[in-house]
Parts: sequence; C-alpha cells; structure tokens
Amino acid sequence: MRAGVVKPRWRIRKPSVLPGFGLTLGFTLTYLTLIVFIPLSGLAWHSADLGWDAFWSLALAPRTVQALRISFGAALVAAVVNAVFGAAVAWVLVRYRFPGRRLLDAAVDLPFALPTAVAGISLAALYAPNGWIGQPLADLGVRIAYTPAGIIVALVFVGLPFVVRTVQPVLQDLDREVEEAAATLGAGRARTVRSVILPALAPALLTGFTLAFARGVGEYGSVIFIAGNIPFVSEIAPLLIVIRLEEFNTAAATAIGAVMLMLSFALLLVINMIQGWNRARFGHG
Amino acid sequence: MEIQVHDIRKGFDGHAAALNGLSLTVASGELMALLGPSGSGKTTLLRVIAGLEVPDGGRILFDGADASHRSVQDRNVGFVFQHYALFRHMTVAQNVGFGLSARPRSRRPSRREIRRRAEELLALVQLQGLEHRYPAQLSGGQRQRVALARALAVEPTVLLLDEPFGALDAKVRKDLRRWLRDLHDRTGHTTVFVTHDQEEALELSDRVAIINAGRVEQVGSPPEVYLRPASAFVFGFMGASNGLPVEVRGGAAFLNGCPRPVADGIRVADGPHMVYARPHDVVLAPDDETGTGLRGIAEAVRVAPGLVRVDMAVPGLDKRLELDIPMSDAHWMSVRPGQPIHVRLTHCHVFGP
Repeated sequence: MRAGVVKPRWRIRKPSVLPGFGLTLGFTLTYLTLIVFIPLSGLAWHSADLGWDAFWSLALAPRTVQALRISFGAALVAAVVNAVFGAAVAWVLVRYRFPGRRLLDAAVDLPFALPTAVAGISLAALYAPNGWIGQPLADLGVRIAYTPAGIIVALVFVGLPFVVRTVQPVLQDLDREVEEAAATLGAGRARTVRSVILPALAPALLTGFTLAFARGVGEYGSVIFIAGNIPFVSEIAPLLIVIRLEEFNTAAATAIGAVMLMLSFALLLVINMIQGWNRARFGHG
Repeated sequence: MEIQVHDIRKGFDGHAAALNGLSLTVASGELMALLGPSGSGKTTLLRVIAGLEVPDGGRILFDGADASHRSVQDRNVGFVFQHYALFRHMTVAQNVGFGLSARPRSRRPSRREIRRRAEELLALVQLQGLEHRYPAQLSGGQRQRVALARALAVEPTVLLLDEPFGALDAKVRKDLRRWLRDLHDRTGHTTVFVTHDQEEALELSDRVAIINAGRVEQVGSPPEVYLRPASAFVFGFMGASNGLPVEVRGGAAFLNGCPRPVADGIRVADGPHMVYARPHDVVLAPDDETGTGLRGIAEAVRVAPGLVRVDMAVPGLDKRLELDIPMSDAHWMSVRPGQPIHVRLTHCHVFGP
C-alpha cells in the first residue's frame, strides 16, 4: 500500500482553540441584515422601481447635483480641517500635563452628545452677522453663517471627536525612543515630526478623517440651522431629500438617497483599500 | 574621542537620585561596559552622555571640550536603543540612510551617495540583500544590526549602546557579542555599552565600570575587577559567592564557635569582617591535615556539566555554603547527602562587615 497523502479539506471553520465562530458570525450577519442591509436594499429596490432613465434624470437634476456637490465638498473640507486640528488636539492631550487637561479631554466628546440641532442653533447665533464671532468677521467682510462656509463650520464641529479619538490611542502607544533615535541621528524637531511621527500616525489619521467625512456627508441637524439653505448655494443633499419627501416626491428622494449611498460606499471602499495596503506594507495592525 | 563624565547628578521626581555625583573617564577608542543591577543608574548615565537626559549638575566633556550644553543633535553620538527603535514605516535602507538624509541641505550627501553609504554599512553588519525589507520582516538579531548600522551612518564620534543584546536569545546574543567586539576593533569608535550581565561585560569590554546606586564602585579591566574586587558589592555582582561572617584575630579569620580558622594570612585589622569565596574556590579537603577549613554536612549533591554542585550546611551559619567541585577531583564521588565533609578556601576576599 502506498502512503496516502491526506488532502486538506477546505473548510470555513478551521479547528481552533478559540470557540464561538459560529455564534458570533451568526449574530453579526443577523444584526447587520436587520439594521443595515434590509433598509439599504429597500432603498435600492425603490430606485430600481423607477427605471433606469427616470432614475438618472432625477439623480442628475441640476439642483440635486449641486446639493450633492455641496454635501460632499463641505464634508471633505471639514474632514481635512479636522484631520489637522484634531491631530493637534490629540497631541496636546497625550503629550502634555497641564491643569484642566482631563476637563478638556472630556469636552472633546461633547459634539457626540449634544443634540445636533442645539449645536446648529448655537453656531448660527455665534456666526450670524450680529453674533459674537460673526460681527467682527462681518466688519472684515467675511460671512460665515448662511453661506457654504457655515456648513463647513458645523461639520468641523460634529466631526472633531472622530479624529481626536482615533489618533489619541495611537499617539499614546507611539514609542518615545523612536523620536529620541531620530534626534540622536541629527534630525531636528520639524524633521522628526514630518518623517517619523506623522507616518506612524497616518493610518489612524486616515481612519479619523474617514469617520469625520462620513459623518459630515450624512449630517443634517446642525447644518440646516447655519447653512441658510439657499438652493444651488448652501443646500445640502440630506435637506433636499427631506424637501422632496415633504412634497410627497418619494421617487426623487429615493434617487438622491441612492446616489449618496453609492458615492459614500465607493469612497469608503477606496479608503479601506488604502488602509489595507498600508498594513500589508508595514506588517503591523 | 575621550569622554569625561564629571560629578554628574540627576534625580527623578519622587525617586531616589538616579546619579549621585558620578565621575568616569572613557579613553579614546576604548570599549567600556557599564555594569550594574537594574535601577543603578547605568542607563541614565548613558542617556546623559548622549544628551537625551539633562543632568541636574555636573559636566560632560568630549575630548576636553564641554559638551554639557550641546543638544542631542549636535553631540553626534550613535545611540542604539534596547528595543532598537527602528522606523517601522521605512525600509532597512531608509532606516540606515535616515541620519544622512536628515542633514541640512548644505551638508547632505546626494541621494545616490546616501544609498551607497547605506549599502556599505549593511554589508558591514552582514545584512546585504535586505535593503528593501521593513523592520517587521526581520528577526531580533537583524533588527539590532540595522539599529547599529543606522547609528554608524552618521559617522558618530562615540557609540552608545543600551543593553544591546538584552532582548535576544542566548545563541544570537553570543554570536552578536563576538561580532560587536570584532566591529569595534575594525572601526575603532569609542564605545560605551550598558549591561546587567557580568559575563557579557567581562567577555566584551576593555574596561568595566561597575555602577551601584548612582555611583561608580570600581573601574578596571575584566581581570582586575574579577580578581581584585574593590568592594563586597563588586565581588557579589561578578558571580556566585559565599559570604561568611568572621572574627579576625591576628590575621586569621574565625567563624563563630569554630576553633580552627576559616582562612589565615589576612591583612586586615582585628575585628568582625566578612569573608567571601566563589563556589569553585571552596575545595574538598578530606585528609583534614591543613591548618584551615570548615566542617559541615553535605545537604544536596547535584551534577552539572563538568562539575558537581554541593550545598553544605555549616554549624553556626544560617546560610548554606555552595561548592562547585570539578569532576576532575576524584573525591567528589565520596560526597553523599547527609555525610560530613571538610572543605578549605583556596581563595577568598575580606571586606568590612
């Protein structure tokens, strides 16, 4: 008899000392189906009902395109601003010890907790041409409230915690010795930050940026109070959906929703792929 | 480059002072070990020399010039960290070239030159062909050598290594030790390394500085510190030891209650002292004819490669005496647990109580 070569049988479940794969996967799928997939496929289903031509004519209506452009554009700018200042806030909170640090640390989460409408109304009051900040700015000829700039201000506010909270733990774990090594090799502070610290923070920074961006695209409550909501100028896509619904124009609302879904999904997919590539390259994570 | 450390003091808040007015001179081209238990301040001293730690007082001189106020960047030291501190997002070649590419534009070599330098150094540390790997893809020993090549790339005036082999397994550690000695002999950098392993310090260095509680206990060549320890601490730190509390009378040391002296010919004043002897300097003397020695009971007999370890209970002594008997001494076969034995000290050191 010849020695039989045991063919490894392909199995989803590899024998493991960590049990619970079946249970947790089942739970995950059920959960995602109920909470995410069914509502989203409902959206796709209704869009499909419209028919190809009707769908695109609704989706590409000039007012819709402009609203989408404002939503995604403002979310992008706000996420960039948050990436820069959120990283700075995280740096201060992690690296320095000063009185009131814990208080400041706790305050970072406020945008999570505050009802967005409250945030929107406060920001609008502050930045309105007769507000505390709006007044001096108006004297300089700068208008924030009731312009696209107001949308960005509101989105920066709601997005800040995402960047701070993703960068903070990574910064905490960042080995001090790596910076010291750069210093002994003759690198100045600016060079160390640019070549050593930022690349180490990049994956976390990108995650925070993505979360802030995604939140910004879908944000509604705070924006509508400060944006002024002028069609073609400062009207965001989520607001346009609500307007169409109030007009009982479900078809148009569905079409805008579906386009937002596709765009968001495509962007998040690309960012996730960048992250995966990053991890594979540096062999960590 | 000669390094002079002059009366350096450094404390950390809430702790005992890490360095207590420590002075030390490292000769140019020398390979010196800073040896001491953890918490003795040896790593702090290394970091003070590098400029990573600002001392509370004292001065650091490089070739006679005061370097105390020079920044880390300007001291031009090569520092190798215990856990390597490699840049994870850079390839091996980029890591090694970092110091050169971080130079101000006026002194920065061309990109091609940096690459050539990196390849040269990687050849020196025997890592050719790994230029494009990332640190995560290397073994511990390879990472250590990358860290070394990176430190050497800036043409440092001194090389400082913090527990360079601490995180490696025994086999790699041994190979790297020999290799580092070789590298030092070829490049001739003044090198200081920190270790808590006396074997490593003795094998590798030209001179050893033994540090305890923020001070230098003794500086000397490996045979000097091993054979002529300046204090009980140094003796104890250099290897296994037996301590016997004795009363010295007229040059002879008596253990409490024994008429026969433990050792004689001792040149210290009369009074209470401690006699220290290594396990291999306690030998069997079954014929009982010499003038000095100890009687006791063999308690445990264990065979180790090439020698037999015996724990011996001595009346009036609360600790067991350790003996390493070479197997070439045929008497070892007669040693049985529970049997009385007689031993003699062939070599011992006497320090104050």
